Amino acid sequence: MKRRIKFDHVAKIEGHASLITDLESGEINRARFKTLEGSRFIEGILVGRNYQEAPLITARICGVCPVVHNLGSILAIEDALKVKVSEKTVVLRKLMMWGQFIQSHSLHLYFLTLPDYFKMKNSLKLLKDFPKETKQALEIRAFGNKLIEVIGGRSIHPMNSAVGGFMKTPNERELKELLKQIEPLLKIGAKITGIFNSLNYPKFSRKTEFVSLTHEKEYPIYQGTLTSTIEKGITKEKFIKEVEEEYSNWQKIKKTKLYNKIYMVGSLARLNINRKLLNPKAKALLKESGIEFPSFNTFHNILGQMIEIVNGLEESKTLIKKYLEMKGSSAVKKYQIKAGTGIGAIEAPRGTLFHVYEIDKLGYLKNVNIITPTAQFVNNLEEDIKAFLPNINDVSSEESKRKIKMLVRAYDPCMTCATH
Amino acid sequence: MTKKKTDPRSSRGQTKKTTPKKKKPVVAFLSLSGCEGCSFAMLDLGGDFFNALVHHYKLGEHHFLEEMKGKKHYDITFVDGAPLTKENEKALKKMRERTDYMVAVGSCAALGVVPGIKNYVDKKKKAKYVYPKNKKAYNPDIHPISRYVKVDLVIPGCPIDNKEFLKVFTDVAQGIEPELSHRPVCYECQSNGNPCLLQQGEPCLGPVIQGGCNAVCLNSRYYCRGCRGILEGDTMDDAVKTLNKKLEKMIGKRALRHILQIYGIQEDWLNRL
Repeated sequence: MKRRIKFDHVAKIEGHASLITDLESGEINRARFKTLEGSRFIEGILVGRNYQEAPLITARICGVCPVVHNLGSILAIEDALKVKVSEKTVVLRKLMMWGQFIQSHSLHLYFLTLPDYFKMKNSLKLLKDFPKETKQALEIRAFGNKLIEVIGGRSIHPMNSAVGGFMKTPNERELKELLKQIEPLLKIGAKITGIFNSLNYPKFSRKTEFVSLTHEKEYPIYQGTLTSTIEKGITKEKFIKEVEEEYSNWQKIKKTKLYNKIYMVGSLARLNINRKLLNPKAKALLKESGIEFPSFNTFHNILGQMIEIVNGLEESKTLIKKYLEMKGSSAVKKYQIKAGTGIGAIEAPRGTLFHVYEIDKLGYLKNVNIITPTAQFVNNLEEDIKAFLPNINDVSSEESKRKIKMLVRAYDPCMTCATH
Repeated sequence: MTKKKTDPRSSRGQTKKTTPKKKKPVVAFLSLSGCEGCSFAMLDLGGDFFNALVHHYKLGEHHFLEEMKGKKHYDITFVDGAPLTKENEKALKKMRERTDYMVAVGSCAALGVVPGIKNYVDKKKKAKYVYPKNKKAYNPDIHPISRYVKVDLVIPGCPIDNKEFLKVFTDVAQGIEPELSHRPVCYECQSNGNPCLLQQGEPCLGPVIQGGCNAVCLNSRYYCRGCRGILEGDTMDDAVKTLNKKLEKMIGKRALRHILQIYGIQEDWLNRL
């Protein structure tokens, strides 16, 4: 007997999406995760415009992770124009990115997923029932925002970051203020990680491939080569050549495959590949969870995000200290406009993000392609839903529906990014 | 069609007559297509936003915070994003029918920005570039929501300045007419002690753009691209003419047009020349 279960609107995710599942003899044989966002044709819009507009326009792809689009765009341009930036600039950019991770992960964890685990339909109830914990969680999130603001000029759609460096030097007094906040926030972070370590994650496991940036010495979020469970040390150029975007006549999201295989990106992928490079506190907390890595349970992506928040706080401490001691300048460097192609590959909170640009000799964009994390993991999400459902006795029951939505939310899909 | 009222005071005044208890206005948040940055700007206020929400309102609908079913009537609705899909248009119109007072939040809703850049170029070509196989991709011109429904108040900005939002948010709940800045960006820029970019030979739209943003871009030496729109009324016409002449000379017509297209103010600009 064929049946269809439709989720017209999956609430509490970034943007709007629907989910359609087709069942036959008690099993799901098809799952389709569809965006309800309108296409903005961002890549098309950028073609024919000056490269300087790209970091501004692409930041507007997503209001929850504008920093990574802004910097991904800047990196693609710098790669195309062969601009080398100072080490001080790199430190500031990494700080902005950790600010973004802390901010975005916190939003997802506290507002969008935690209420599920406490069986609450309304996130405001969390505020009412756990006022102290929620306030502390919001403090961590505010730190991430403030970090972006101090360096980027504003937390949503920053504008201080530019091709070649920063327009303005950040205020050192404000950076020192932020540095002072980190130790107390780490204590709160450890406590909240305790909550996530004790959550009752649904039992689930499905073998799949993982992809993330890698680096020899640090937990990689800003450049590096790519590693997948299929192949190690893939250059970004090779990755872009090998990754396949699906063009269909109905789907607005271009889902991807690597070497014809579906894969996952995001916190769980990063932890599976790079967990040895975590900072000491984050590493210790991950160990306390008792969960074995590599993990093939997608629900652990949530715990991964929490671990990355702690790691981000630790890393921010190291980076701010380093910045304050560093000589040199983060000011915009002079560079020449010339024709070229470039790739920006960075880790966004939801996974690896690619901006690929071709620029003409006058500085106008000839070709643009942006591959977002969500577009990369939608295939994996759909396969997960198919594999997850047979575990649930009565698929159409409210409880099953709740669990399916929990699985979708574990991915932290960003529909505005995926559709752009 | 339900009766539309423009002032939240009137509806609550009526409620007061029938029920002695003072009722909090029921509020909805509607997100159309966009980056949702304005929704996050609200959440970024943290406790200040939640306290204002709980203190002044009864929450009716918010797709980030809850999974409740929509209500039949809202006293106040905040709309962000632009109508990009047929469903967006339908949701917007349906919401207007159920809402007494509608606030457009952010430049997408107010001006139809960024995605609206395609209005100025061959939009079919743009769609084909992104989706070569999907010939049915819905591809309308992008307009402010006021083109589709009556809007009672506009909070501009890409994204909104959340402190300005918070003030409006608490004001309208209490039936106070919110006051938005009617000064150009230059006013705040100068009081912040920023050097004038125009005087240094760099472009800037600050002199004719609606302030209230604390000149946040200029505080980072990032010139004003006009996300809050040109100040209303004809008092700015002469200033636009002068600035247009200056900027065309400085960066050329093409570059200037491209800047004006980002936030969808080209038409308004040209109409004033």
